[in-house]
Amino acid sequence: MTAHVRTQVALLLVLSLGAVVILVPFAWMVLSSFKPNVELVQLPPSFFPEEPTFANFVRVWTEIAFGRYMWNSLWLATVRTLLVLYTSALAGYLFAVYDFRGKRLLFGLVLATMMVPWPVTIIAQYQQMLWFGWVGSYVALIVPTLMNSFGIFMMRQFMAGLPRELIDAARVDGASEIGIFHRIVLPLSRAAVSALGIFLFLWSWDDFLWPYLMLLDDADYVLPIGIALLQGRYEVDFGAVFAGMSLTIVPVVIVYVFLQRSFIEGIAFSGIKE
Amino acid sequence: MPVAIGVLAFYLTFMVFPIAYSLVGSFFDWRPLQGRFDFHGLKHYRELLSDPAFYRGMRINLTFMAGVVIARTVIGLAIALAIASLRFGVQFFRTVYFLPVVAPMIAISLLWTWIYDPNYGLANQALTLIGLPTLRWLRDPDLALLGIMVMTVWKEVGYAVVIFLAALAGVPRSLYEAATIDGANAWNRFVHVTLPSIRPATAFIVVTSIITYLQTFGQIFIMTRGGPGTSTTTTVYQIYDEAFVLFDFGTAAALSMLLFVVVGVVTIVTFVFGRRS
Repeated sequence: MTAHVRTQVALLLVLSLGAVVILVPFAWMVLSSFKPNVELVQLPPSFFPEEPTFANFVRVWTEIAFGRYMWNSLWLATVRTLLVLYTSALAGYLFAVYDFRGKRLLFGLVLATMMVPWPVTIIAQYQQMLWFGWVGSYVALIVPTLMNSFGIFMMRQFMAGLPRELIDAARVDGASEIGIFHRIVLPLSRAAVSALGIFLFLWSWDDFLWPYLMLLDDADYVLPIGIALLQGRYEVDFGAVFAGMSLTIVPVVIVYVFLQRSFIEGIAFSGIKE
Repeated sequence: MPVAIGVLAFYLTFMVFPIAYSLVGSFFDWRPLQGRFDFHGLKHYRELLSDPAFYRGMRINLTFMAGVVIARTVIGLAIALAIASLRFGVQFFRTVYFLPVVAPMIAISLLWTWIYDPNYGLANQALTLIGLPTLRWLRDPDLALLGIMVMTVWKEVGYAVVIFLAALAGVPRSLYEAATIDGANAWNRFVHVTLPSIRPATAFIVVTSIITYLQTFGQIFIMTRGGPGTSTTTTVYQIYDEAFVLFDFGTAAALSMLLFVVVGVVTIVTFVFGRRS
């Protein structure tokens, strides 16, 4: 073996070991969610289910209403993603293309808020929601998150690179400003929009503390709250815990495997453009 | 200009106002559930700064941040370098290492609570398999914080890998060739060509990680609730506890302002330090 081949083999071995460390917890979780409770606590433990069963899934679906939480998470993430995508694109376009008084100051404000730790804002925001009477309603989850600094920044960076001649030509043809945005700028920004959309969807899917504080009715809960509730079953119903985790994690993983190119390239893009 | 006005109105209402109100509220006896908001002066700050629990919380907060930032950056770069040197399988490994990044943190935290279970968890099964004594992981005050740090690095190192891979792909090959002609060995090429070329990516990872991991909450809430004892009670967890368990918003606001100062100082120091080196 030449030195070069030996290096390749060594690298492959080390990276494969790392890949095992990454993948085994996922496999263990999925396999465990098909094991009956007695098998989960048996010693020595099994890795593959000896008597596979769907009972755990049935229990989380009926006793902890995971189906409902999943539906709530799904539509909430969809609504939030679409709204924030639109406001990010609109504000990003504003900062990328227009000149107006106070523009630098306003953009500075948008960026500065990214540096503020969430505990600083969440306390007064809670008080705000009490004043507005929004506690217990989805309005409290949607309205205060309607604009996103990271989203505005990312769209501005992307749109600043769009060819200005296209926009100017459309103006000459008599297109309205909002028409240019909808018909020319948005379609041209598809790559950035889809990358940001993935981010926003994942963020909403994973958003825990704010919904946990704001939602009061069991029927309104979202998946991360369901997970926190599962933790209460920790000592009694192991199977339900695994099934609930699988239901939260596996859909994301499946979507990721299919769309991984746009996931990864979007993330690399956001980092390099800094 | 209605868009500009909309952006301004939103940021004033939902960002600037809450920040200002938290600052003001930190000088008040502020208990929203009783509708109380009485001026207290510096009382919260005086109490916090003379409380050993405050310093312990900060120390745990900073330890967690430093450990995760260093491990994520160093391991992330090592994995990226290894993947970048491969002849094939680049895409496969990139996809695998990035997988935990997209998985939801709250569910992954619960999964790792299980992995660390002393009786039935994977961690102890793995230790037994290689003939080592088992550990009590999250139930052990000396190991709990480390356990959450390991889990966090496991979940989020892939992000650094992807950023570093993109940066490494941008290093001009001619630089390496020139260095090789000048007689530089692999280590010299890494120090004098690779590291300076990927500095913007490194700075990006380090700074965003510092800001993120000074504010970590979800994993701690799910995995230990600040325990055992106070071994994982970070300042952020204390803020949660004061605000949303005790509903003492005044103390929580003062704590969050102190955290804000620490985040600001650490970020500025990192920038200055990064500029100089």
